[in-house]
Amino acid sequence: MEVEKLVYGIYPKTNELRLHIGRWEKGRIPDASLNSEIESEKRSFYSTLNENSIEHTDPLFNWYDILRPICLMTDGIDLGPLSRFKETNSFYRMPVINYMGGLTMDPADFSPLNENPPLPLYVPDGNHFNAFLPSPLSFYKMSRTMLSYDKFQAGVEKLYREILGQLKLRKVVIYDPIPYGEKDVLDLSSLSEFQIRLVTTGKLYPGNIKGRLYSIISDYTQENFEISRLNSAVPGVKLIDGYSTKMESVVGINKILDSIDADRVIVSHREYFDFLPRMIADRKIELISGIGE
Amino acid sequence: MGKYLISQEIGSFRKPKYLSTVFHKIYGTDEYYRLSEKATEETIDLFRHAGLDNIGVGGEMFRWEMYEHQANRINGIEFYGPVRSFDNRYYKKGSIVQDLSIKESFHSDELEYLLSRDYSNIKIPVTGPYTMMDWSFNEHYRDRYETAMAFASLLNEEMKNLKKLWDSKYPGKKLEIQLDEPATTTHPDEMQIVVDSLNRSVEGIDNCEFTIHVCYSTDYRMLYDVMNDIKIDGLNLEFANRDSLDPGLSDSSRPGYEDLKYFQQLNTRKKFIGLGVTDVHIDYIEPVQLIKDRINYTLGIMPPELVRVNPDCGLRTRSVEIGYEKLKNMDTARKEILKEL
Repeated sequence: MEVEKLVYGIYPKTNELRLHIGRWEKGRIPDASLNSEIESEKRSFYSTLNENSIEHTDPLFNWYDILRPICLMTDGIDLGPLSRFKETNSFYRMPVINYMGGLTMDPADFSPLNENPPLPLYVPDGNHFNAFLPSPLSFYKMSRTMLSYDKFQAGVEKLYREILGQLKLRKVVIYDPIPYGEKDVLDLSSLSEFQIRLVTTGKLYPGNIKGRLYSIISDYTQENFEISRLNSAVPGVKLIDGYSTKMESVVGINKILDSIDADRVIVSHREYFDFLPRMIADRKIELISGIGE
Repeated sequence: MGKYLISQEIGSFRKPKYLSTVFHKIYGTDEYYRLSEKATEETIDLFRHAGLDNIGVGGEMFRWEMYEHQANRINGIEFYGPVRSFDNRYYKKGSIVQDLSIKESFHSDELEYLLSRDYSNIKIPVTGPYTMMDWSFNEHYRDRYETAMAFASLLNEEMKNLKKLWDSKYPGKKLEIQLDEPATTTHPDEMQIVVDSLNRSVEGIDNCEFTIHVCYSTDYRMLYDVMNDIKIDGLNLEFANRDSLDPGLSDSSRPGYEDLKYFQQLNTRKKFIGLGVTDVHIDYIEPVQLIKDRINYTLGIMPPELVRVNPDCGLRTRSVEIGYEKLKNMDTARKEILKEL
């Protein structure tokens, strides 16, 4: 079996970067200095992952939450109140969507944002790099809006195409932190020109996902795996816990992989690693490196 | 202390700079105690000027943060580093790696100081077992229930010690303890864990008034549904944050307080409400009339002996000046209402 590994989403910052951001928030260092510090930390993160051939997104050190920079660079979306992220003790600014306009700034350029460290949205990096975008369905569920989902989806697809087009990126991780209801439909068929790795949460129901995707990476159950296999080229499983400091064992994970009947599989983690202390997240990446070998 | 509309602080208040800037450096030293005591004294003085009946523990000057303060004093918890809460704000989230036991008392130093100064109108905030469980990583216990119950046993031991200390100074007088449980309604299917762990925490402790403080819940109704099963006397809750800033006594003017009708329907055991009447996340100082409207609206739902008034949560997020003004207006509002009652 061929095993592809994926690390996605916001990654915990080093203490140095955390303090640097703190100084920036107090106005003690300029945007540009913070930007170069963030870029340097991103490069170091990429270097570890590339050495181990791990597919990855930008570690998003300059994203305060998984929606905010996109909201701040899009016409028609305001930042609402701090709101609890699922059942965690972490909070995000709830988007208030008045209408879905276009991008108001170049995602590739360095630009200061209010209430968030500055752009660029990503610092792209080599063959293993994927863009990161929140799924339209979770984006909608985590927002406050009078728009119908259909209208929102049309707007967000246009927006995502604009972002990926401007950055000339073809590979993208689309992340759905909110579990699907039985009747939820995430239709990504209009984004078929991109290689999409969709990371889902919780139970999948047949019919939840439309469009032929490169991969659907889900919590590992037999039912989820079957849906993933039927709807994507390479099925994916989340076998590392991003909510627990307890370390999984490579042997245990390899054993699960041995029991899976597939030629190729993607292994990833449950929830992005920003809910863990940096030291543990680094250990989990080390562990991921050893999977399948 | 009046019988009706008792006013109280919920817990934390802004630390003076001379303490906040050196807190971690001097923690546990003689200097830490000297400065914490000085800050406590000043804050109590401010609370008295603002007219508060109950002074809590003087703004929690001995504590930096509600989780870490307790977790640091428990054996069996290891810290691997900070975890982000929002933006660039972090907290130390511990990992439970072995059986929990108390390393040193969480709050006896604070209580000893207050007793040495002869304060008796106090309320001790203690972070509750469910929140301690929810905010920790668990590498050791079987499940979340077992983890919460382990914390509950520790809290029971700690509160028994605090009670003993209190009794040595004020025998026969009730001690007020507030169990802070902000995580309470974050997992709707775990309300039984909340009930069982809180009940275990207070088990066998007589002559205490127990309250819980829950803030920023998305749905208090799930708490109201089980409140009669929890052995507590009252609930100190946040309402102003979800209310309108317009004056008025109608349901549409007071959307933040409408839920109290549901509370009172279920309130067969006559638990009191600590009514949050001022929002701790905005600098806007709610006018006396607005606070009066919030209280009077509530008095249309429940009797005055079941209503206390407080800010939504600790005022540490506001400057000392704004915190004071908010408390002052709260006191003026309730005093005007008391005259009218």
